[in-house]
Parts: sequence; C-alpha cells; structure tokens
Amino acid sequence: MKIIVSLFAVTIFFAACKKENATTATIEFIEPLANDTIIAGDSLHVEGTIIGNNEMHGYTLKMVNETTNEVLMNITSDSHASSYAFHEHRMNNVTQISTIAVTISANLDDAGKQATKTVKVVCLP
Amino acid sequence: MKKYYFVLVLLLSINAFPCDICGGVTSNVSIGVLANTNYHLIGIRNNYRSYSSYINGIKHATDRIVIQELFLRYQWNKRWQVLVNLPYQNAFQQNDFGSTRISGFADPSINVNRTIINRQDATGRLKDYLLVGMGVKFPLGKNAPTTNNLKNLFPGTGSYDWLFQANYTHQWNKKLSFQTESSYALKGKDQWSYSYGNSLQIGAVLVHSTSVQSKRLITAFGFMGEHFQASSQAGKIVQNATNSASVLAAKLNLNWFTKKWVCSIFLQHPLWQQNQELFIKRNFSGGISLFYLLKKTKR
Repeated sequence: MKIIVSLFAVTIFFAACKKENATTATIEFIEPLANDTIIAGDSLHVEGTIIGNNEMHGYTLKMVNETTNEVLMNITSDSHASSYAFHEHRMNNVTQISTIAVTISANLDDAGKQATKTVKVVCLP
Repeated sequence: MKKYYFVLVLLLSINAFPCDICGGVTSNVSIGVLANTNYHLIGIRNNYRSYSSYINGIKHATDRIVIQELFLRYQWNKRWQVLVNLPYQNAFQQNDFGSTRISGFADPSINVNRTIINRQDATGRLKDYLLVGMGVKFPLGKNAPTTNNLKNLFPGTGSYDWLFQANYTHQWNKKLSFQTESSYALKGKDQWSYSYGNSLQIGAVLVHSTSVQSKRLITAFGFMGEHFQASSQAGKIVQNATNSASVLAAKLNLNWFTKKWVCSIFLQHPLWQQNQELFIKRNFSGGISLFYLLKKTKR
C-alpha cells in the first residue's frame, strides 16, 4: 500500500511540474516591415519575438518566393519556452522582381495548434 | 625567489583578454606585458569567453569563443623585449535553430616593449617597474566580408591594428604589491573598408604572494574596465552595430610558479556593462596558461 501511495505522490508531483500549453501567442516583427523593398545584394533581415501566454512547443521560420514558389528558408526550432526571439538573414539574389513572404508559425501545443504571422516584402534583382 | 615573484606580478597582465564585445574578433589590445628581464618565455594560453544576445529582453543566441595561443617572449636585453603570439580560434554560436562553428587561425601580433622605470630598494628588491610598448597585429587570420552575418565570429579582423600598452607595478613588501595596466588598440580597415572600433582597456589588481614548499602561489584580485567604440564602414559609424560598449569586470588570477614553469588561471566576471543597443551581454570568461621559462644569457 505504501508503494502505491508513494507512486501516486510521485505522479502527482511530476504532473504538477508540467507546464500548461499556450493558448495564444503574439508574434512581432521588428524587421522586415510589410512591403519593405530589398535591393539586390542586400540582406533580408528577419528579426522579432514570439510571446506566448504559456509554454509553446517550438516555432518555424519560413521564407517563400511567391513569384517563383521557391522555398528560400524553412527552419524549425523544437525548444519549449514561453517566449522566443528570432534573428535570421538571407541574401537577396533574386533574378526577377519577387514578393517574398516571411512567415513565423509558433506551435502552441503538440496537437498542431499554431499562431502564425506573415510579412511580405519585395526583392529587386 | 624575489625575482620569481616579480616576474609573476608582471605576468598577471597577460590574462587580460580584450575583445570586441559582440563577437569573437580578438582585438589583441593587451598582448601581455611580461617585464621580467631574466627569462625568455614560451607557452600556451587558452582563453574562453561567452556572450548572450537578446531581442527585447528575450535571449536569442549564445556565442562561445575558445582561443589557443602560442606565446613567445624574447628578452633582447634588460630594457627591450619582443613578444609574439600566434592564436587559433574556435567560435560557436547556438540559437533556437541549431549551432554554427567557425574556426581557424586568428591574427598574429608582434609587440616591442621597453622598460622605463626599474627601481630597486637597498636590498635589491624591485620596488617600481614601468614598461611601455607598442605593436602591430597582422591581418593573416581567417576573416569574412561585411555581408557575412557572422563576421564577428571569424577569428581575424582583416585589418592591421596598432597596439599600445603600459604596465606599472609597485611592490610594497615581499608579499603585497599593486599593478595597473592600460592598453589601446587603434584598428584599421579591412579590404571591404570595414573597421572595428578602437578599444581601451584599464585594469588594476592587488597582488599577494605566498610561498608553498619551494613553489610560489601568487593571487591577484582586481577590476578591469574596457571600452569599445562602434564599428565603422568606410569611415561612417555602422548603425545598429552592437560593438560600442563598456564593461567593468572583477578579475581573479591564480599563478603557480616553479623554477621552470608557470601555470596561470584567470576568471573574469562582468559587474556592469553598457551596450549601444542593450543587445549583447558578455558572460563569464576564463583561461588557463602554461609557460616555460628559459634563462636568458647575459647581454
């Protein structure tokens, strides 16, 4: 009986330690701003923060050239935290005027619930 | 043993390890002022330091810099000495998306120092010692163009830098002395017209010496202030650059001295720091060094 009670107590202890999943998250881009124009040879600078109301389960940063449908960047973090800061660069080397969509998707739980924000910029060749 | 003590008092300064606050580029401002005139020196220095990057107070990345240096000092005569260092650097950046490593030879430097004051008391014990010197750092290390976002983590700056330093030591008695050191690095431009900011370093330590069997343990504790000017591109200050910074750190230094060998450990922890963008913080740094002493022939 003592063993059962002990196991129960341990289970309750660890369950109590488990953090709640986030239900919402605020994604803020410091850079780029919507409709920014990036000249050839300059860097597309992506920087900002994700702040959840509880623990999140990672996030994804994706850059897609909507003019050519080319995926320029698609990187994922699996770290669990209630806030993230992202900061990435990519050289503008497009060969035609292109609209680039920069999307941040925060995983609020393991079931696939996400908070997403997209900023679009124009890259010049 | 008196001689050894004074060697070590002056050896303490070699662990001052300045760098641009936001990355792994060694400025080599203080290349080590070893004022003893009785020994040539050869050794290896290992230094570690780290930085944390923040965006709106949220940690974004951690940079860790490890440098191994081959260090040589040739004592030309009682007044003049030549110091050479050949560094190799490993830099690691860890962020949410993974880690990056950049490694390679960094910029070597050569310095020439001259003894200005060498005052002794009636018993022959050194009382006051002032050494001044200058040197140059050569752009032979691995570096990167301005377009590389991790330029700061590359081991070389790509520029010729001019280095100036002075070291003064006053010995009160057999066990206690005071040492102060200042250094300045005047940094040149790389081939892309990029220049890291000039940097100033001023430090002071109290030094205690104690004999352990036939060896000597020398402990130093003090403070180190550093200021880094902002980087510039073609002469214009780089906006949003994080290089401009000031740091005040506490410093502890332990030195174990035998007849032929010196082993040194230093620990440094920032007490206060101010960064242009409040963007990057320097963390703990430390190092361990091992030197072999070669008795110089009289000249």
